[in-house]
Amino acid sequence: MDNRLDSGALDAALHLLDRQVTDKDGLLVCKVDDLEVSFYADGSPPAVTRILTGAAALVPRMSSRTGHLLRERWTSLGIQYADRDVPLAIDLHLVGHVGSDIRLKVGRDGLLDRQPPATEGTTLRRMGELLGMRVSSGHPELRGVLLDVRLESTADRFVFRHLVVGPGRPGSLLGYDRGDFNGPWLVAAAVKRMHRHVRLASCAAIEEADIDWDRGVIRLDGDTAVGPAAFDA
Amino acid sequence: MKRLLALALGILTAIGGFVDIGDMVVNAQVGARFDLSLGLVVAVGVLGICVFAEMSGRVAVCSKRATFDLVRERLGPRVGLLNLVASLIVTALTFVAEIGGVALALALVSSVNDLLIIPLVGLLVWLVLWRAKFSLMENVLGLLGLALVVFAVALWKLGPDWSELGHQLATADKPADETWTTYAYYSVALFGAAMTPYEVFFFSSGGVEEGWTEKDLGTMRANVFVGFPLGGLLSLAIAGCASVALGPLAIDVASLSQVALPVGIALGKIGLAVALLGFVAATFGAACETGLSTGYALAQYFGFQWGKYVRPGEATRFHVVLVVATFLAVGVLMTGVDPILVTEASVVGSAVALPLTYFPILVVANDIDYMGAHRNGLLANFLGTIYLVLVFVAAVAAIPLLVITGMGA
Repeated sequence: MDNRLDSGALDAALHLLDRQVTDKDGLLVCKVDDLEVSFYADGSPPAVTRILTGAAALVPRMSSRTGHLLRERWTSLGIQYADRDVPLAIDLHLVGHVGSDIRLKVGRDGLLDRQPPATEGTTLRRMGELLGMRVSSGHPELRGVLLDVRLESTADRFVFRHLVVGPGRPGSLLGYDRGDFNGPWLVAAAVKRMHRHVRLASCAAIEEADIDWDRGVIRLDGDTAVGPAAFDA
Repeated sequence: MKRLLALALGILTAIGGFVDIGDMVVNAQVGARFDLSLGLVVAVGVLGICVFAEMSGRVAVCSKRATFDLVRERLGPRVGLLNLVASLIVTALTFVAEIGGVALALALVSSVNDLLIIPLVGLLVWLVLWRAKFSLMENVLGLLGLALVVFAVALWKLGPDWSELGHQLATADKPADETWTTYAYYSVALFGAAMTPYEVFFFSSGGVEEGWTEKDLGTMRANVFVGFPLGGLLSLAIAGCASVALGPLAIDVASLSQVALPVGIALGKIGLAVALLGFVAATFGAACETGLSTGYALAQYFGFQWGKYVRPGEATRFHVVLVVATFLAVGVLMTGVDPILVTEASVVGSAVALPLTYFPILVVANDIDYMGAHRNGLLANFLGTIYLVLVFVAAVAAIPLLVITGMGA
């Protein structure tokens, strides 16, 4: 099976989230419950930097868009634990293969440890918070919510390239926007119709400050480069 | 023999779907009340489960991803969790019922009260799930379950009017003394039983357990196209026997002994012995299938190691789930609840689980990332789409019909 890392381009929700993580011997490790997103103060584009897993990552994704309520409840169930809200993490340089599973280069024994705190000049967020946020922009073609993030893989991180913006819910694209999919006609027609307004917005200028994390809104400039999402290859 | 053993996974999966304890009684009930007028529903169900089991098997062969992996990947954690809960209602309740079913079958043999047998059966099932090799389990239980073929022999021996039976089967003619709502209820129940979600959980995970690779696509297809039609035939044979032997006597079938009655009439003691062996093997097989499927679904949703292809020490959480499930099942049964009633109640879970399980399979079976060169062809997509609509209709209709007819009374 093809390795998505070779082609360089992958989608956060479609190719990474909720996939099985396996170790070098093929044993099962965990699911990709969420992804760590780093925002950089030096102006370089945001990037996915770690795989997050465990209840602290999964529980917030169960609740509404921002996940605050369930996250608070989850924390309050074990208020005495300092690491209650800190998920387990896997560094991306350990990932060797992205296909129908995420294959690691190491064995699974003693692998998972708590997510380290942010370093100087970076802010850590989660993909689960970002997906489903409303996109507010002066650009006439951008409407709806953030459905997915198109990433480019580099040595130790997956850098944000495009935001996939459109009406609907994250995950409802089912991979049809990728263009190499010949699904059953009825499903394909329904997805195409539902997502006829999907657009790719460039991430070149996006900063952490553009995002209202409490209200769940991403503000994009009116002059953001916007392209169509290819349905047909 | 080796050829036959290669088909054991398909046969065992089909036994759990078509002739587990609840289905055996429902099949006989339907036969006694509706003759073979619902036989077409079974045929439609057999084709449906063949289409989706083949798809899920192909995904498992090509990508090593079993069905509940796909559910979470395509539906996300929230809807996936909804499906997990609904599927566990079906699978775990059926597991409870099957352990009770083995005890009922053994009680018929030994005349010992089934409450005394239940803990022993629970222990045996757990030992098999924990210790027995996957291939040994499927071979022994799949082959012994074939003893139910005695129902087909009994039907032949009862010498029915074959053209009359064929006419009922082909025309789907509702008997005049039944209402359309009960007819619809039993149609949905039989269709739902044929397509129960744990069949694809078990079949696809079983494909991974057996280490099937792309070389084995032929074996996988043979399992599907022999196993499920055979299961359908067994269920029709049970219904046919009940129709011929019990229908004229206006017996309302409610227990396992009544299911076996036509075999006793036709073939005497020997036949009855074989039928009882078949009952024990089929319910025990279904218990293993549903017990393992409970563990598979949970493990594949949360991502921990599952399966009997690794040592129990490498899949500890999976085996803990099996222990807890068995304990709970025995606990529920010791309250004296009727296992047959438990399987009928599990229909409620099917209503949610059926569409949410088959939709992701259909989508992923078209995905080049998983399938490579083995994506769905036109036929698989055509049938898959039709059955997805059918499954959706059955799911919407199931609960209202259950309430209106008072479980088909």
